Amino acid sequence: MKGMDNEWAIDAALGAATVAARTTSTVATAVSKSTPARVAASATRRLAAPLIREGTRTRDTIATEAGPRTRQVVGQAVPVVLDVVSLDQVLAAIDIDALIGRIDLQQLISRLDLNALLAGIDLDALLDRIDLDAVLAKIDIAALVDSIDLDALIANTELGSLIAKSTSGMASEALDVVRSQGVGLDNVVSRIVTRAMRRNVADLPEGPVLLVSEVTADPASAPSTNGRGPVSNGQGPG
Amino acid sequence: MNVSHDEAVSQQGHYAGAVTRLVAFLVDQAIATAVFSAMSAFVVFLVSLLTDLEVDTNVSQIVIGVLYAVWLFMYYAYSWSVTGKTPGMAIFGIRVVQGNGAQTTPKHGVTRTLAFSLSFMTLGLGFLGIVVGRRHRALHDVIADTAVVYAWDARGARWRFLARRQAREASADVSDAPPQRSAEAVGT
Repeated sequence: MKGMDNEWAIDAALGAATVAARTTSTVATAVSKSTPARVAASATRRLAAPLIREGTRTRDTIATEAGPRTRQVVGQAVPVVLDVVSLDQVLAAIDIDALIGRIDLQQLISRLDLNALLAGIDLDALLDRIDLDAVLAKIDIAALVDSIDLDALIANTELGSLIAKSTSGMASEALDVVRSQGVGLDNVVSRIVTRAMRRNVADLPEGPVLLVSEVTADPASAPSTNGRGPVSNGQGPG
Repeated sequence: MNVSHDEAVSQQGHYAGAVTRLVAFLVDQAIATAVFSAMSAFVVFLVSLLTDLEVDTNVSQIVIGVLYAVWLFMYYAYSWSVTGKTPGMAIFGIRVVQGNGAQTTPKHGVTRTLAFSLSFMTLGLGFLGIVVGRRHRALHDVIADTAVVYAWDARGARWRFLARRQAREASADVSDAPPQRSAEAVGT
């Protein structure tokens, strides 16, 4: 309540000051337009003519010489400042992440003329500098091939007919069948022996370490029909 | 017995079983014996053609036996040393590797071939490990530190199987379709 009681006084004071300023401005305007005031201003300007000329000359001098002199001063001062200031400390104090966060990269990219940028790049020279052998060495070709659904590819494209034409020999087909039958008979014998000797199939080694180690590392890489896990290397040993 | 190619694919690199190895061995023996017979017959023919020597049957049996043993040694030792597989093993898609799966060396090939005879000398007990062993290794495998694994490209075989089936189905569709000319005749 006390604060509220004082506000009217402040408002009254501000109002009085405003009225006074407005009145003074009106009076000053009226006075300046009066004849005596004009005569006095004219006389004052004539009396101050030497001072005005001197001031004009000084202002022109500053306008023409201040720039070069300022640059000269800055040029002399900057090395001294750089000697004193450690840029490493300054850079360490800057939060680069926050700075980058303030940059609108999308807008920046949209302003780039990528076509012009690419036109300026010598792709041949760039490719010459790339070690393709090293790049290819990092690619798991076997995994890449495994990721392709070749069954569907053969069924839906002309690839199937091409393979059929190239492997239409009876010998090739017979060899596939004989080998498959051999594997099947081996599995039958193996299962009989395993049951007779009461062995746990999961404990039996599938093959030499170098040939099946990748499989044990990733048992879900392919389905197994005999419960002993797949071999993912896709190629024979050696 | 219908064995899918998927099963064979899943066993690539695994220890080969007894049946495949036995059949491959029999094929190898047949090939080796046939080649030796042909070569020895050719040599005897050349000798009789170029000289007047008479082949003594009693002596020649011993000589031929020794030569046959040497020939078998060369046949198996060379195959296992260089490629890891004999012609019979190549037909059935198996090969010999080191115990850890690496490529065999001449040392492994020669040792395995010499130890191979031991498996026979033990009245065949040396082969028992192929059937009941956890790693399907015979006596000569244990001595030479080798193993026999499936090595044929069953995945490729599966693709060939699918391609042939697709080709057969396509040809069946063509033969089932009514001839164009007879259809036009019906239309007219």
